[in-house]
Amino acid sequence: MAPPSIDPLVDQPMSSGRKEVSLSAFAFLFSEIVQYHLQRVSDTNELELKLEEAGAHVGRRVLELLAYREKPTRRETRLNGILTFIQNNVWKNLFGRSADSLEIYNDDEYMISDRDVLVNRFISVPKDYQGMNCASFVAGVVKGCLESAGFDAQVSAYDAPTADDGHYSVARTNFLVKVDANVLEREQSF
Amino acid sequence: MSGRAFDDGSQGEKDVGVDFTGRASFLVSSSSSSSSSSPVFSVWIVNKSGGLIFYKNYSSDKNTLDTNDTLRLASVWHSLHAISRTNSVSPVKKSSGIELLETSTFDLHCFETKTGIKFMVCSMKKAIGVERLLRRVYDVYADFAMKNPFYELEQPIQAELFEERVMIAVKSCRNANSGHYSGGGGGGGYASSLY
Repeated sequence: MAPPSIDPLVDQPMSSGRKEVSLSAFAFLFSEIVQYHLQRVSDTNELELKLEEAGAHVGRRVLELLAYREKPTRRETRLNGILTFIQNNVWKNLFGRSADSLEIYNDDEYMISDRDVLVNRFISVPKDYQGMNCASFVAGVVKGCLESAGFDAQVSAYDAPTADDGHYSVARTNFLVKVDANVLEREQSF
Repeated sequence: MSGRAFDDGSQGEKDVGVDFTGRASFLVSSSSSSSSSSPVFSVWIVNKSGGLIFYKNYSSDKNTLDTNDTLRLASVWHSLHAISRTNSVSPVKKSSGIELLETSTFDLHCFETKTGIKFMVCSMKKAIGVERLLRRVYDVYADFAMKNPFYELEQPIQAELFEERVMIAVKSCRNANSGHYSGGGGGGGYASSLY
């Protein structure tokens, strides 16, 4: 009697390699996502909210995957830990490099800052949409990660002053993370 | 490659042919810019139905066309281009349409994509690298117009990043031309005409 065949997929070690997808394909897909929501909202706030929701779905899944793939024996329980994890591991996996900086603003406000956010690479926001930033999607990813790790927070994306690398102007985006009071209480009890 | 040159020079320098001379002089108002300034006077993009979707003047001369004139010129060019492709005009089948219009003061290069969008560049005579510039502008269009969710197809392009990148492409064309321009042998590729 031959032993029952085992699903080869289950037998294989979990892939740890970084799979890259075409930037063009992603840019077109993201453009479609924005256009889809653009037709279904009445103002830019609503649009940002919709993008944030879409991003949150990504965030939840990404955290699940990376928590298993990169830190299988450990769960981030501290706020600083999870934020650094997002700044480094999550960013590297999604965009190929870490976010530029992570700063503390107030006790409950943190800021992740990054130049040339991938989703914004080809996007110019027209004048009548001023103040809106499509990186709300990425803010949603951060929010999704934080929430499914047990840190309730509000995350929003803002344009930061544009830097110039001498050739192209490089747009900067700040992601402001405002942590909920219950998380802070828990932090202090440690 | 028939219909490559519109003006073969044999009809006398002032006669550009068709009723284009009067308008053509609008395109550039100065022919004697120094070689240090950009050899590119203007960049035009015409959509597949003949509407102008992008126009930018890069010459130091501020005597530019008003919006209506540019729109009219673009659709005139669109029609001429279409006529030059028809079998009744072209002696050889499958003409690509007009690719280069030469006058005594400037060259107008045109590049039509497979999808029918026309990219045009007005440059100094015999400027080099214009063919490359046209394709770079096409690249920029594909990246910064088509991948921008706020851009509506066939509509005028109003995107900061797009304009910035076209500007950079135009500048790099100037760099390629500096020092070479006075040589005279620059645009050797266009020297022969099938006419």
